[in-house]
Amino acid sequence: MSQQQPPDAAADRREQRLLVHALLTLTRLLLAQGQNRAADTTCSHAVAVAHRLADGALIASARRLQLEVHQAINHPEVFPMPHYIIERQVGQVSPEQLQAAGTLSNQILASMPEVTWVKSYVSDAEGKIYCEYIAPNPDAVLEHARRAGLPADKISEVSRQIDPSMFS
Amino acid sequence: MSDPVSQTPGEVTRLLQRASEGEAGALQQVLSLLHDRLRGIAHRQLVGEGVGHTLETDGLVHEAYLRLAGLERMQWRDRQHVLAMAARTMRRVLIDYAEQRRAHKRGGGEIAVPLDELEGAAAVVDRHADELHALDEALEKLAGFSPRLSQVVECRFFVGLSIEETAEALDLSVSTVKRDWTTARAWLNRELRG
Repeated sequence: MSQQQPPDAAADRREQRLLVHALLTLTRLLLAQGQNRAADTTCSHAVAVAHRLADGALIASARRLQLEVHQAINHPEVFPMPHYIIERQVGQVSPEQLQAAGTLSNQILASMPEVTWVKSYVSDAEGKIYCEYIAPNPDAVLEHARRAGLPADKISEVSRQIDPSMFS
Repeated sequence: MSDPVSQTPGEVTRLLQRASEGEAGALQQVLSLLHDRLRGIAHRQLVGEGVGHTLETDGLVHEAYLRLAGLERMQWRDRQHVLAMAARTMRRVLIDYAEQRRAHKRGGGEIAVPLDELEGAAAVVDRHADELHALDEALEKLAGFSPRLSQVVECRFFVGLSIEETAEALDLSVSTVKRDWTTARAWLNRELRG
């Protein structure tokens, strides 16, 4: 049991503990969003305040999370859940038809939390839409398409994502 | 490591019944037993890492005691119900704290140049207070169609439990929690991207 502290000192410690907990929660949120560098900065603040409090439990928790952040920085996940590119042969679609299809798709997605529509590219010349989805498996993608009344002519699983910033 | 809850399977049920009937102190005893359980989980998790046996949630659980003890005549169902409520209360404590920081920011109290490490750390929370608020709102929405997914996120984000600890606390299999966590994370990222 800790020693009795003056009320102001106890309130300060409570405030600082909450600050550490808020920083740790924020770190986990940033980590889950793949913002590993921001998570690292946030977690460093949590470690510093925990040390200032000389609270062994908080220091251990903050350091444990910091280790997780460093692992995420050194070994970024390829994808936590499979990404899929879906080719939809739709022919020529008007902006109104696109609007209606997108609205219906979102309504279906609201009842399928395991499926995420990331973005789509429309090719008027080909009469196709290329959609990126995150889903646990191709069946979930097909089920969404079935419910939304959309074609899914080809489903390709993405193995790795690259962008120009990864190359010098 | 002994588990106080499993040693007294009927005791929690009896205490919950008494708490539901409004008996002062009964809920406090349940929370104390469950806190020991969380500490037991953390101890097993941390002992291999060579660190102490205390838990990050100690301070937060104390906050949760204070708030949950104020809930009179709550119909407590079982241990999971109390654990879920404790995790939810910890979430409320932290979100309320972030809301205070948001209000402080809106009131023009933003610190331009942090003077020390405490102010620097608080400034980080200030900068992200809107995101914590958005997370809270998204979790409300998620709980609307999948309370279990929301509980898993609460245990992971707000209590700081690992996948294995969450599985033990919520009495779910590790593979279920892994799947739930991946799904909830993908859904939250979509929601929070706006």
